[in-house]
Amino acid sequence: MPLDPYTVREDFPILKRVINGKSLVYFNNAATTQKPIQVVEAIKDYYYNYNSDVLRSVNTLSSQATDLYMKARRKIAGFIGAGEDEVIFTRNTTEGLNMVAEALSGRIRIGSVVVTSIMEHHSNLLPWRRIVARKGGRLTIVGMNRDFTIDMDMVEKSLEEGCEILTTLHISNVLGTVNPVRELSKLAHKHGCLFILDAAQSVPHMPFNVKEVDPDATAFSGHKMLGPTGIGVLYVKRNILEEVEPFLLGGGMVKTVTLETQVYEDIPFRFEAGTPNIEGVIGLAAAVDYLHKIGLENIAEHESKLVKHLLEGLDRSIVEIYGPGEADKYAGLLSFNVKGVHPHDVAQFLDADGIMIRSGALCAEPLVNALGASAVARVSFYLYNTLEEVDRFNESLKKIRLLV
Amino acid sequence: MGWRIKVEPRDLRDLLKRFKNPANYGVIENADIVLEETDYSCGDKLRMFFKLEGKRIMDVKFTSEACLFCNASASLLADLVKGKTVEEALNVKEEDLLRLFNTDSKSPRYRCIVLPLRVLKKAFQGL
Repeated sequence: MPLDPYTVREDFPILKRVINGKSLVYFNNAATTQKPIQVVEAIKDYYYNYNSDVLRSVNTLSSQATDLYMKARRKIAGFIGAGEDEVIFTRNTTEGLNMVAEALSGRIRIGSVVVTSIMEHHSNLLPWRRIVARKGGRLTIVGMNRDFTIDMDMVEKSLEEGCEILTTLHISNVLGTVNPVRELSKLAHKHGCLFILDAAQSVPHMPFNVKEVDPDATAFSGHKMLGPTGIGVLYVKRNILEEVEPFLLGGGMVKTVTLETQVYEDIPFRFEAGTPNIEGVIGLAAAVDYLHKIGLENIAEHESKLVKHLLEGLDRSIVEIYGPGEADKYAGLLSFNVKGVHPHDVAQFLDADGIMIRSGALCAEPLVNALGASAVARVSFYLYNTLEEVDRFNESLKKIRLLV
Repeated sequence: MGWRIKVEPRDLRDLLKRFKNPANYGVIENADIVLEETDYSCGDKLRMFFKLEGKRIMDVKFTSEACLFCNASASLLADLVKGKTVEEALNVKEEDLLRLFNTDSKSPRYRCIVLPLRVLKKAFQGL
């Protein structure tokens, strides 16, 4: 059954807000998404009825909290087709990618190559650049094809020359284009190279299974998929997790400690020192339930309808659209500039009509510069957005013509 | 200072009209100090040129890849400090600029508006 955004919206109290005299249109979902009642209630229920430490104490409350926590972990792991021992809870995608880079730094030696792309968010560029600089390796940055996806020929060429790690994003947070991740992982593995995937913009918006995509590690954020902030997921294949050093040492990650030595916990717990973000995990599990109920295929389909409608309404004589320009090439987001108006000013203009968008370099400055811009304006959709809202956006943007 | 601009969202249009080709935009060929800064959180890039005679500011110009607010603020700041001494210019406060835009540090455009002042203060540091 196709998704009905008007039914969905009933679950999101914030969407009833009036801002600058207009009903709120929230088009900044690639940055963070709104939270449904079900997620907020799950967190509230945890704090009102079950709050305790987990995985430690021998008391009823703690074992009930532990049960909730472990069920939530299974649910979240299952959401991406992972084993529950392959999922590490982080704060967000950025932390996940930094952890992977540090964990795999042992594989980088003098002359080792890490391949990444010009499309990356800063969080999948800077950690790798630091690692290769520290270890005397080299970072190869591949470009894009004409369709604004990663240049596969250049990837293959780089891999043939010898490479330890290939790392890229799945869906560009600037362009909205979708990289061919199955081909990328096959190619990487054919050349004996690890494949790391930044899935921040894909996992929330389309069906995603680690068994199909086959990355060696992938990271995403809870707050971009209806969950709370401060909870993210890092998936790492079991065999890699078994061989890397834990990042943080302390409580909860050891089996036994003497004055001389210690034995680490099994995976994944050895990577989760300290009391975890229990409310975050429980809130994220509620978000996963919500997304399952709606269906990820339905969400992807709904967003592509919105993008098509947006593209039809944009006046190309005053708007420059980045990326391929054809609706079916975009996931649920799109960047643009109004000729002669800075994107911050476009954002503020739309804000006066109650429409929230993002503007700037979108934490992907090399890509934005490669597009010939110093900043862009971005619209990004989610399941609660409607065609009517897109119409409001297009109408509002038409008024900017008066400014140009 | 003579500038009274009230920047409510509905006045954006007026602001753009007024600062589409802002006064003091351009290059000073024989400038004594040239300094460029980028605000990485918003992407505004601003380059300011200062012509001095001793400690007196004879001319100020700027070029930019920046939004309307940053350009307007740079333009107004240049007018404000021209003819003043370096010391007087260093006494300009963020609030002085924000007041021109009828806003405060809670404004979403706060960083855009104060960037020119940050460039100026850095340029005159230690003079």
